[in-house]
Amino acid sequence: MTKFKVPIEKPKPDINRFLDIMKGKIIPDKPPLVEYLIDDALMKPILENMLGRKWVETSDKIDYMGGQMDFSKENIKTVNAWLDNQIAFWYHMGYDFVRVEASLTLPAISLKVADTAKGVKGVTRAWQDETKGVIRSWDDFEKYPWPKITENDFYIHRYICDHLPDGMGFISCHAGGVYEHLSRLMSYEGLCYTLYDDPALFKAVTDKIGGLIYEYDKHLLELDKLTLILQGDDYGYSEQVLIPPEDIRKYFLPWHKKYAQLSHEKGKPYYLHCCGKVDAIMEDLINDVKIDGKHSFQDGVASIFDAKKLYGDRICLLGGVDMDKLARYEPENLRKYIRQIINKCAPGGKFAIGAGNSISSYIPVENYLTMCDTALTY
Amino acid sequence: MSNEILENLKKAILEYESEKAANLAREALEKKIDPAKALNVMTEAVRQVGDGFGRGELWLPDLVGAADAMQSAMPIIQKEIERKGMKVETLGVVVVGTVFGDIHSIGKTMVCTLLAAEGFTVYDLGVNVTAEKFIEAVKKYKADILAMSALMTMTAPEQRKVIAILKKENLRDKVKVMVGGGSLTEEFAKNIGADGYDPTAPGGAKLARRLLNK
Ligand code: B12
Repeated sequence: MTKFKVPIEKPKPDINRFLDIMKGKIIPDKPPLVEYLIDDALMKPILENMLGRKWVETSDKIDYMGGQMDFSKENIKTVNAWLDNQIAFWYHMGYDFVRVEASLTLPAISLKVADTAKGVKGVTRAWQDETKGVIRSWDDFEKYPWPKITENDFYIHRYICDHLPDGMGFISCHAGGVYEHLSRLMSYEGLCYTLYDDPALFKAVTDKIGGLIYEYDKHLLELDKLTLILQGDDYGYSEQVLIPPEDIRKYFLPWHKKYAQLSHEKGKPYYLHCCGKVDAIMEDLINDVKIDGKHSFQDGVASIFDAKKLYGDRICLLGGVDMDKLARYEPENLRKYIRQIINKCAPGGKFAIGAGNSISSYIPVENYLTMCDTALTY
Repeated sequence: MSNEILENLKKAILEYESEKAANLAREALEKKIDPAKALNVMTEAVRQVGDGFGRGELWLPDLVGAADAMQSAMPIIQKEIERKGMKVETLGVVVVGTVFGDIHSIGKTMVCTLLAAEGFTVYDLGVNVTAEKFIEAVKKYKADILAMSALMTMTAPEQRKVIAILKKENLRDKVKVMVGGGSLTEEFAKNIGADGYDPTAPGGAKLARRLLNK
């Protein structure tokens, strides 16, 4: 394998500089790194083989966006060791922050799927079943075990804040946004029917989830060391938004506006990860919700190049490396492509580089390292 | 009178009124309306929504709503067709599924709906479908077309694998293969030896017709 600049033995993270770059106050010679999620399939080999650490499994691996860790006395050491690994990973890979997210317990029917990525044997992941949902009626809504927010929900966040290396920030959010959890609990088809047949139920479930995330964010924002919230909530797909823009405006954006306001009251930015072609709501997100940054870009659908032209002077743009290219390109082509992104997007600042979506299990380790290396040596 | 019921049935689907559509289907049968005609207006309604979606005038939930209304009336009409021993014209049999490792289902379901509305007999295998399951279904249902959906770079190559097995089992010239899903391109589809690709579900339904020269 080629020699890479990452992992870095003695990194010099500077979260304040990162924030100044995102605000356009500093125009750096090279953009900082950003990432939304990094899969264990890559964290594990890098931690073990390149950082000489021991990998630790946690107990919540199967539950996606609805799981809770086991904070029992017997397990707390494992959780701590897992968190130490997270911190070490983000630190040594050259980021200015650690990003970890967790979710309240919001059980949904889940569909287990084998992960076919190379080298990920026997791992199953849980995703929602698209044709049924756990909430299909008012009765389901009332009987649903809506969680209560407790101190335990913020154990991992407090731990990270207490163990951040000098200069490092902490970025988090409630894992899964209001729309994402609605579609988990009602299924996509189910939420479509309810939108037309029983808009009051649609609104009730949305507002219940929206309100929980609001309370959750209040707790998060009490943490002094929290740098900002980068919330995920996918509204688009390759051609359009997943539900009509007027419904997104009516039901969901008011919640994001509240989350943004909460952050702004604390003097912190609010960033949104939102996949797909969301042109139809971008102006609302910028002017009304007042997001400070946008994550998730995909060439041909919502490319970082177009975003730079259209929105780059108003909000900061995060990520941008197309997932397909990140997964498939040979390292040399990948380097060229990444340099091209930096050439076009770094001028003027307000840009950090990373995957268009996430470092998912099927991104080759070498390509991930190539991306980080290209950015750090630009 | 019979025209009015059929018109209302179509309207119920265009307005995503599932219960109303089912009631009108029952009423149509009570009034001795030809079930084949009822079937026609229903599929026509969904096609209309599909076209509106294809033109960018309607949204995905419109398609889901219309499909749901159609599906609530469909079994009532189909039962009658079977009871009467009528032969329903089908353009052909299509086996559809999202490939192994991939659970993105929304697009695949749209494809099923529009193929059915176009007049195909559709078998939806769901998501995370292994190559073996695809092959088994192609044999079992004597499929004319195999339609596969994949949304990720990692899972798109599964389609190549399925095509290779079709060849191995001497099935390749018996079934047309069409592929689609967010991360695919025309070029990729050609490369893996598929017979057709379309970036949209309404386009997919038209493509299926072309593949069978219908
Ligand atoms: C919703 C969604 C999810 C949901 C899926 C819910 C469900 N049950 O379907 C959840 C949250 C579960 C999910 C999970 C993941 N996702 Co996802 N997801 C999306 C998203 C936002 C929308 C997909 C969608 O539903 N589109 C709506 C339908 C209608 O569109 P469509 O499927 O493309 O179908 C249209 C056409 O393609 C066509 N079509 C579809 N199939 C076929 C077949 C034929 C034969 C034909 C002719 C036409 C056709 O018809 C449709 C209508 O016109 C996309 C973003 C995007 N740009 O698409 C990411 C996206 C597909 N996901 C992505 C990723 C990375 C993931 C995860 C790995 C994330 C992670 N880090 O964990 C996991 C993997 C899960 C798995 N193993 O499958 C990436 C894939 C990138 C890549 N190139 O590999 C995307 C593109 C996001 C991005 N920004 O890059 N995801």
